[in-house]
Amino acid sequence: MQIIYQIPRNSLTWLLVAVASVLAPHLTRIPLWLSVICASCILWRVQVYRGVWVFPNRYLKLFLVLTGTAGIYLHYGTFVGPPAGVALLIMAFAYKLLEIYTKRDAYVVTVLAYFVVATEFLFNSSIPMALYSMFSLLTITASLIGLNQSSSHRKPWRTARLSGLILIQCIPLMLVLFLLVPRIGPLWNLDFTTGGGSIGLSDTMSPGDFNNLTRSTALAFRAEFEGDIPEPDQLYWRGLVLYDFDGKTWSKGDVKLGEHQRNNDLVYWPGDKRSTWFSEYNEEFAEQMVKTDSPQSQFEVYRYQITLEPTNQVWLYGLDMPLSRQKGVGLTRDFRLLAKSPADNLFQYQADSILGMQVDVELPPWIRSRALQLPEKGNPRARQLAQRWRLEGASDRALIAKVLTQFNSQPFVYTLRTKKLGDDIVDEFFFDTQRGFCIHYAGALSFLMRAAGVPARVVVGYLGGEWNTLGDYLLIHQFDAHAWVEVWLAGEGWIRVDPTGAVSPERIESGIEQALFGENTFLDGVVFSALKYRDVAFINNIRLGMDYANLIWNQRVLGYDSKLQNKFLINLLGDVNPRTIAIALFVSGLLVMLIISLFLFSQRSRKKVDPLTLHYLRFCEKLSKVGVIREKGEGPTAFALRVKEEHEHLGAQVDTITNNFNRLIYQSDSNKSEQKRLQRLGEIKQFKHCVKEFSPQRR
Amino acid sequence: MPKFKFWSQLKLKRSKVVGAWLDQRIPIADRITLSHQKIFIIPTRQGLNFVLVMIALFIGGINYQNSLVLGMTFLLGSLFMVSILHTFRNLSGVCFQAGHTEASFVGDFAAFHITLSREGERIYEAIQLDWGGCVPQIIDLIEDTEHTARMLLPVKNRGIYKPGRIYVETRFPLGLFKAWSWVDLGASCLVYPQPKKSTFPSNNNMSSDLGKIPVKEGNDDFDGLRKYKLGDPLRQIDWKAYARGKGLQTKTFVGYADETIWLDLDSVLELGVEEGLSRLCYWVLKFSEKNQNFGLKLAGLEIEPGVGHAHKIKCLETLALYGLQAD
Repeated sequence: MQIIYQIPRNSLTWLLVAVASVLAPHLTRIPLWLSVICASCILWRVQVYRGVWVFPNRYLKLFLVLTGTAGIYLHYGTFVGPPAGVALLIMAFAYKLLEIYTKRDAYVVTVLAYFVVATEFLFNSSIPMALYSMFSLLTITASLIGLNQSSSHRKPWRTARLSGLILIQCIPLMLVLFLLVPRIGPLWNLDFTTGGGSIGLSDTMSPGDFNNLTRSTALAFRAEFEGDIPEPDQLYWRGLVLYDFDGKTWSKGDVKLGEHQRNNDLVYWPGDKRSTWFSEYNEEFAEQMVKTDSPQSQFEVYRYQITLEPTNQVWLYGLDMPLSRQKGVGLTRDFRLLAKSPADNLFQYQADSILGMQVDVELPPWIRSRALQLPEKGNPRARQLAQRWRLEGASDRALIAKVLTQFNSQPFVYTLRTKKLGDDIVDEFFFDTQRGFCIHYAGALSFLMRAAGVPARVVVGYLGGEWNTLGDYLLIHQFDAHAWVEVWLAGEGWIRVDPTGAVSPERIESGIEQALFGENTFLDGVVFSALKYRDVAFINNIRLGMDYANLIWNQRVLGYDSKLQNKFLINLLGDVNPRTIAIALFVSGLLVMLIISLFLFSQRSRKKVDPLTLHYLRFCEKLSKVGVIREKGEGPTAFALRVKEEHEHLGAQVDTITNNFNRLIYQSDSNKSEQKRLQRLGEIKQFKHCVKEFSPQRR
Repeated sequence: MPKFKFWSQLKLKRSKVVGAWLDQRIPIADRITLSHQKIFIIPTRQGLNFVLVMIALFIGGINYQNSLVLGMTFLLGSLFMVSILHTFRNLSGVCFQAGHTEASFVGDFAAFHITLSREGERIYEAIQLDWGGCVPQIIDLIEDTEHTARMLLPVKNRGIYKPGRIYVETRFPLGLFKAWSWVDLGASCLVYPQPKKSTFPSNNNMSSDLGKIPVKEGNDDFDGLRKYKLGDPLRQIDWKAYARGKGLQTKTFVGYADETIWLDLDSVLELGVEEGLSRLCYWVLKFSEKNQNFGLKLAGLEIEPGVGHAHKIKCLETLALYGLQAD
C-alpha cells in the first residue's frame, strides 16, 4: 500500500512564511508588475490554504507563465545575466506556489527557496541582509522539517525551534568550510552590472546636482591610512576634472586624439607600455618617495586604502597627487585614479599620494587648449573684468588673489539656498546674487582665469571626512562632495585653489555642517538619519560602531578572497599546499562533526531534582558525617527512626525535618491557587533554613 | 516472458542473500534496540537535488566572486552533513518490542502490536513502520516514552503467519537522508481458513438428528430464568422482566446431548482440502455461535464434541494447521 504524501499543514504554514520572506528583499529590485505577481501568488496560495479559493487550472497557468516570461524579456531585453535570470527564477518560484499539491512539489519549492535566498547576495551583501537571510533560512528549514514530521504534529513553534537548533549546529562547520575551502578564480568570466543608476558624482556638474548630493547621507567611501593622516584641510579627494564649460554646466568633455597620440596618453593601466608622461610622473613620484625619508623633505607622503561603495562609475578617489600599483586601477593624464570597470560592488584599492607634488610644469598644448576653452558668448561682465585685470598687468598669481579678495571682501555668502540663475550664470552670481556654494565659486574662478588667459580647470570630488575613532579610519559621505579649481602657473605646474575657502573657511577646516551652521540647511529634509544626531554622543557612537562593523564585514568577510585566504592559511599552517589544506579541512571538519555528535548522542538523562528533595539529601549528607548513612530505598520515616536510635539527642530536630519533608513532598502540586502555591514556596524555604541550621554532633 | 522471469529470479536470489546477511547482522529477537550496526543511511532523492543546488550555488559563488553566496553554499553543505547525524540519531536507541497478536481468518487482517520505546530524554519523531503490506504507520515519541502501534497485516494463507522483518525508516528532520533498518521481532500469528458459507452437508455421518437428553446451556428451547451473570449473552437477557424492575435475569435454554454434530473433512473433500476446510470453518463458527455441541473429524484427527469458546478456538487451530508442518 502507498502512503498518501500530503503536505502536513504545519509544513505548509512555514512554507508560505518562507516564500514570503524569501521574496520580500527581491521585491524592491524586480519590476513592479513582477512584485504584484509574487504578492498575488502568495495571496492565492494562502486563500487555497484557508480553503476559500481553488488552484488555477492548467490553461490559466500556461497563460501566466507565457506572459510572465515575455514580460521579463521586454523589461530586461535578455534572459542572460543575474538581473534577468533572477527575475525569471523568482517568477518560476512564485508560480510554483500555485502548484504545490504533493510533498514532492513542496520539496522543490524549499530547495529552490534556498537558491533564491543566495541570489539576493548578488545584489546586496550587507550585514542586515546577511542577518535577514538567516531568518529566511530558518523559515525554509522549518518548512523542510515540517514536511518530514508526522501530520499530527501541530506545533509550529517547536518546528521553528528545531530548525534554529539545527542551523546553529551548522555554523561551526560552515566557518571551517568558509575559511579552508580553496577560493579558486572564476571558471568563466561573468561581468554584470546590477542595473542601478550611478551614485555620487556624475561627469557633468551643475549646481542642482551638487545640491542634491549635499543632502545625501550615503557613504561614498572609507579611507584607512597607513601611518600619518593629513590635516583636515588637506583632504581633497580628487574624483573628476572638468574642462568643458558650455555657459551653464561644467563637464568632463571629450578629447579628440591627435595624430601622434595613443590611448595610453590619456590613461595608463598597470602593465601597459609606458608612455612618456607616465614614465616622467612615475620617476618623479619614486624620487619624491625616497626623499620623504629625509628630514628636509618638502612634501608629505601618505599611503591609504580606500573601500569604495558601489557607484556604477569608473572614477576612483585619491589625494593629489596619487599613484596606485594595483591591477585594474589606472591613472589618467590629469592624475586621477580610474577603475577598469564600473564599481557596482564594493571596490578596494590602495594608493600613495604625495601632497603638493608638482605636475605638468610644462603643459602640453592640447591640455592647455582644453584648459582655456570658453563658450563664444555669454557672461560679458566677467570677461570684461578679467581682461581689465590682465591689462592692468597683474601676474597669474595676482589674478587668483584678486578673485579671492573679491569673494572675501564683497558680501558673498556660502549657502545652499540659492536663486535660480539665468543665462549668464557667472555674471549673475559674481556681480548680482553673490550667494552660492562650492560649484558656483569654483565655476566663477575658473571662468575668470580662463577669460584672462590662464589655464584653469574645475575639480570635483570630496573634501574632508569624518574620523571614526573606533576603527581609526575616515568616513567620506556624499554630503562631503566638493568642487575646487586647479590653475596652471608657469614654472609651478598645476596648483590647487579653493575659492570656497575665501568665503567660508569653516567648510575647509570643519566640514559642511559647520559651514551651514547659521542657516540650518545641513541635511535639510533628511529626517531619519543617525548622522543628523551627531551631537548626541550615544547615538553617534552607535553609528560609528556600526560603520566600523561594516568595514570589518567588507574586508574580512566579503573581501575574503584567495589572497586573504592564503595569508590566513600561512599563519595557520605555515605552509600552504593542496595536501596541508586537505588535511586541515578533513581534521577540522571531523572534529566539528564529532563535537556535534557528542552533543546529539549524549543521553541527557540527568533528571531535574526538585529543590525539596535536594534539601532533604543535604540533610542526609549531614547525618552521614556523624555515621548514619541512609541506605538505598530507605524511606525518610524509617531512616528517622534509625537516626533516633543511634543519636537520641537529635530526635526533635530529625522529627521536625522528616515530618515537614513528608508533608511537603506528598502535597500534590497541581490544582492549586496562586496563593497556596506561594505558601508552599514559603514552606520549602523554611524547610531549607531548617536543614541549614541543622548541625548534628556526636555526643 | 523469460526476461521477466530472469529478473524475478535474480531478485529472489538477491533477497535470499540479503536475508541471510540481515539475519546475521540483525538477529531475530523479541526485543531489539537499534544501534549503529543495525541502522543504514543513504541520501534521498531530495538530498541529491539539494546537492545539485549546492553545486550550482558554488559555481555561482566562484564565478561572481561572492563571499556570501559561497558562505551560503557552505552553510547548506553543513546542513547536509549535520542532517546525517540528526537522521541517524532519530533511529538510534529506539527499542522495538513485539506485543500480543490476534489470530484472524484468511482474507482478513491479522493484528500485530509493536511497542516502540525510548530511554532517557532523547526524543524521536516521525518513525515510519512498514510491514508486510500494511498501511505504513508514522510514530512519534515526543512526550510519551513508549507507543504501541497496532498493525493490521493482510493474511492470505492459512497456518502460522510470520510477517518477517519490519521495515523501519525515518527521514526526519530534513528529508535529505533516510535512515532505515529491518527489525525482526519473530512475531507470528495463526491464520484460520477463510470461512465460506455453504449448505450443511446432510449426507453420511454428519448427523443432525436431535437427541433427547437435555444438556445445560444449550440454546434450543427455553428452560427458565436465572440471575444474570457477567458474560451472559445480551440477547438472552429477559429485557421485559428488567423493564418491570425485576433486575437483570438471563433466560436459559437447553440443548440436547445427543444432538452431537460431527463435522468431517471427508464429507467435503471432493471440493479440495482448502475449500473443505473453509466450509468446516464456517460451520465451526456457526455452531459455536448457536452453542451447538459439535465435534471435528479431520482425517486421522478427531476433536471430541463440545461447546464453548475454548472448544471453538481448538477447532479453529486444528483447521488452521491441518496438513501443515508444525514448526
